[in-house]
Amino acid sequence: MERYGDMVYRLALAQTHSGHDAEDVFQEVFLRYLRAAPAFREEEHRKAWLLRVTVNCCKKLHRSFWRRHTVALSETIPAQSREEGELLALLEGLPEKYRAVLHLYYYEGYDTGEIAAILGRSPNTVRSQLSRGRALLRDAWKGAEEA
Amino acid sequence: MTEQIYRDLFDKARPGPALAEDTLAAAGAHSARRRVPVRRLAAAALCLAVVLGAANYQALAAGFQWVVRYFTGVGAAAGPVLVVEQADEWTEGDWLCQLDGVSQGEYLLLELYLVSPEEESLAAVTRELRVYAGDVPLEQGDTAYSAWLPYDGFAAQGRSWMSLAGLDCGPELAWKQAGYQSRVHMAFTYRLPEEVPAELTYQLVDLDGMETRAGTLALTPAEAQAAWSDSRGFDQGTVTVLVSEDGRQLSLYAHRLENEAGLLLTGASLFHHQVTFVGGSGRRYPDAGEGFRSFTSGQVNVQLAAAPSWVEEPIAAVEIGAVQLFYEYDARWDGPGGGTVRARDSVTYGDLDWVISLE
Repeated sequence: MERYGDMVYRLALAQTHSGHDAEDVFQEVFLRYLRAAPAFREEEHRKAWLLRVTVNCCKKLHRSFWRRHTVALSETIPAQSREEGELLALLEGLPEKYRAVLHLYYYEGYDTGEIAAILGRSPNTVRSQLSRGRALLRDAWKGAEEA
Repeated sequence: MTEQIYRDLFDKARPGPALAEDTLAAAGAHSARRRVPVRRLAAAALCLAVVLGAANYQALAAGFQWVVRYFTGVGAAAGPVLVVEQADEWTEGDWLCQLDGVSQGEYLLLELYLVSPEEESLAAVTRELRVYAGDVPLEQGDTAYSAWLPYDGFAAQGRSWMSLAGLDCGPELAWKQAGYQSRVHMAFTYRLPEEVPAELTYQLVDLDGMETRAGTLALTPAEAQAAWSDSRGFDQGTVTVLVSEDGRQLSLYAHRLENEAGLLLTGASLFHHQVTFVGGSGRRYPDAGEGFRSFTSGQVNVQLAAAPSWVEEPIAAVEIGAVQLFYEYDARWDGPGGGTVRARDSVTYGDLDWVISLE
C-alpha cells in the first residue's frame, strides 16, 4: 500500500474525477488485494494487477447506485497555474473511456501494448482511444488558446 | 507540454494519511463479514453434528481427501495410474479454489473447482490452465470417440456458476454443508510426455490474461491397496470393482478393451444411491453421496464411492444395484456417402444384486 497507494489513488481519481470516489476505489482495490493475497512472480505483475483492478473498480462504481454525483476534478487537485487550470477544465470534459488510457500513458509511462495488456483491451482499441483522447485534449486546448 | 502539466497536476494528488490505516482496519472487519455468515455456519455445523455425531468438518474433509487419494490409484485400466499427491487449494477473495487430478495411461485429467459463498448464478468464469513438464507445455486437447484432438496451444474454458442446492453428491456436499452456495467446475485434459515427470508446474490465467495462481502438482504412482476385487462381464466388456480393506470405499472402472466386433468399452458409471454398504449386523447403509466422485473425461475414467462417514460398525459387504456402461462401436450409415461410421452409446444394467462379500 505504501508503494502503490499513490498510483492506485491517482488512477482512480483520473478515472472518477472525485476524491471521495477515488478513496472508495482505493479501499476496494486494497481490500481485494489483501483478501485474495495473489502470488506474483514479478513486481511488474503485481503493479499491473493493481492497475487493472483499479480500472475495474472504477467501472463498477460507475454502475453503482452508491456513486457520488460528479464533481469537478479541480475540487480535489487545485490548479496552481493558468495552464493547470485549463488542463483541468479540459480533463473534466474528457469522456470516461479515454481517461484511464490517457493516464496510464501520460502519467505511468506505459506504451499502448502494455496498456492493452493491463486493461484487457486490444492494442488497436487502445491506440485508437489514446489517439482520440489526445486529439480531444489538443483540439480543446487549441480552442481555448484561440479563445 | 500537455503531458508535463498532466504529470505535475497528478503529482499533487495523494490519498489522505488515514486512508491506508482505515483500509487495513476494514480488511479485518471485511474478511470476517464476507466469510461464511455465522448463522449459515451454525446451521451447517448443526447438520454436520447430526450427520457425524460430532461437528468435525476437518475430519470429514480429510476423509474425502483420503478417499480420493486411495481410490484413484487402484482403478488402473489403461496403463499406469498416477495421482496428484496433494490437491492444491487456495482462495480468490471469498472463493475457495481446488485443483486436483488423475492420469491414466498417457492422459492427464485436471479438475478445477471454484466455490463461492454467494449465489453467483448470473456470472460465468473463464480460466486457462497452462501445464508444463519442466519448460515444455503439455499438449491440451479433447477426445472425440477414441481419437485425441489436440488444441493449438492452451485453450480457455468459460463455465457458468451452478447452485450447490441442486447437487446431492460429490465434493459439493461438504462445501454445501460448510455454507458455500455455488460452484464452477472445469475439466482440463492433457497428454503427458513419454517420460512422465514427477512434478508438473501450472499457471492459471483469467479472461484478462492475468495470472491468478501458479504452482506445482506432484504426480505419484498409485499404490494398489485394494483388499477385495471383483469383476463382472457384460455384453460390452468387463467392469472391475475394488474395495478397501475396511470396506468403506470402493472404486469402479471399465476395462478399455475393443472386442472383435469393434466394440470398445470406454467407461463405467455408478449411481451412488445404488451402492449399499452392509454392516456386520446386517443393517444396510446406502451411499449418501458424500464420498462420491467421478474423474471422467475421454480416456480417464475412475469412479469413487464411500460409506457414510457416520457408520461405525464394520462393513461386511458392498452391494451394487446398477451400473451404466459407455461404449463405441462401428455402425452402418445409409445416408449419402454411406459406409461404416463410429458411433457411441450407453446401456444401464439394473437389478444387478452384485454383492462383494468381505468375509
